[in-house]
Amino acid sequence: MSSKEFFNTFVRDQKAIITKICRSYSDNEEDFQDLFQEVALQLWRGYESFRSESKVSTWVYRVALNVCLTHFKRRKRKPQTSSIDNMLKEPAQEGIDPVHEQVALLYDAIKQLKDIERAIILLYLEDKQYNEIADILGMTRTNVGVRINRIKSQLKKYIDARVGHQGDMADSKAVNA
Amino acid sequence: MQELDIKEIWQTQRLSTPELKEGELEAMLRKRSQSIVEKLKTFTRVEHIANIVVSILMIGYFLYKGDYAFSGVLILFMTIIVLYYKRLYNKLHAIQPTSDVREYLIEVHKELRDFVRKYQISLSLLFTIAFGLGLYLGLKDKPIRDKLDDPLFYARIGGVYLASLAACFLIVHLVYSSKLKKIKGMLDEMNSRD
Repeated sequence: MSSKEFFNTFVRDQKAIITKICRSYSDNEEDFQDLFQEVALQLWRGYESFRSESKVSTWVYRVALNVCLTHFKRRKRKPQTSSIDNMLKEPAQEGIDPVHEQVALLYDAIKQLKDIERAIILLYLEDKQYNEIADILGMTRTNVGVRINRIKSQLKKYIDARVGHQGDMADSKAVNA
Repeated sequence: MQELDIKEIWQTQRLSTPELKEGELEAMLRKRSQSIVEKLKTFTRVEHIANIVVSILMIGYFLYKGDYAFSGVLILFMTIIVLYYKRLYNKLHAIQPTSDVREYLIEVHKELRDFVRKYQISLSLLFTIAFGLGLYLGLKDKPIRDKLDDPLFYARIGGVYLASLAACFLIVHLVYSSKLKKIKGMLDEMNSRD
């Protein structure tokens, strides 16, 4: 197996992580496509020099977050369709499914956060330990712990407000009907 | 939504995303990187090559003219600039997104800030030299010499000099300030202990 074939398999294995992070930092399909491509490119460039000094997932999270945080949006261009676009579209299109609705709402809530807060909560949601989050971000474990609690309550507030608003809308529709 | 629910929802999200099409990943890897560091590297490389070409042409010209003293000064001056660009490029090349987020942001911010400073200093120098040289050569013409007693002449020259310099500074500011501000904001966010 050539190194490119090996890398293809590697990206397929890590696709879920890359997709979730890129999705959290993009406002539209173009941004998502740009980010996904850039992350894949940077992983490929660092792939051969990866010395297993850290866990593979830690390395992937670092590269993906560093790329997303320092990505400066380009001007609008004509969108190209590819399978990467579908990675972004798919969950939103299945809005009728309550699970997907909740996921979409969670993404909305995450996008209200500041850049670093987004990174912290993404790693928390990915079930990373505080030590690993601190290691990926270069922060202290204590700082991570304090922030996670604050971010969780921010997310909860946002989601509660949205759910409440949607409930009110549904009620008023029912009354009008 | 309870604490556990957030994690649960996140982890149950279906990412049954379509597989990358055949050759799609290869196409991605062939594309040019859009990262800010990569752009700075490209600008540095282009400026580095331009410096070398201009140096060779200028040194060759003055050697041909037999002005060996000036050629010597030029060789020394250009060697320093070429070495500076080489060092700059190596520093940019050393920045890898594999380091932790804070370290990466610090490095990118530092290099970007240095890049802006380098432009501001070189623009100021180039404008001053160009205006000085223009004035010096212009003074050989009688019509310009005649204007030297007119205070408005100096005001106009000063105005054009400052306006041109300000326009160039503004372009550099517009291109880079928002990027610097964004990275600085993230670093401040990481450093705050509230």
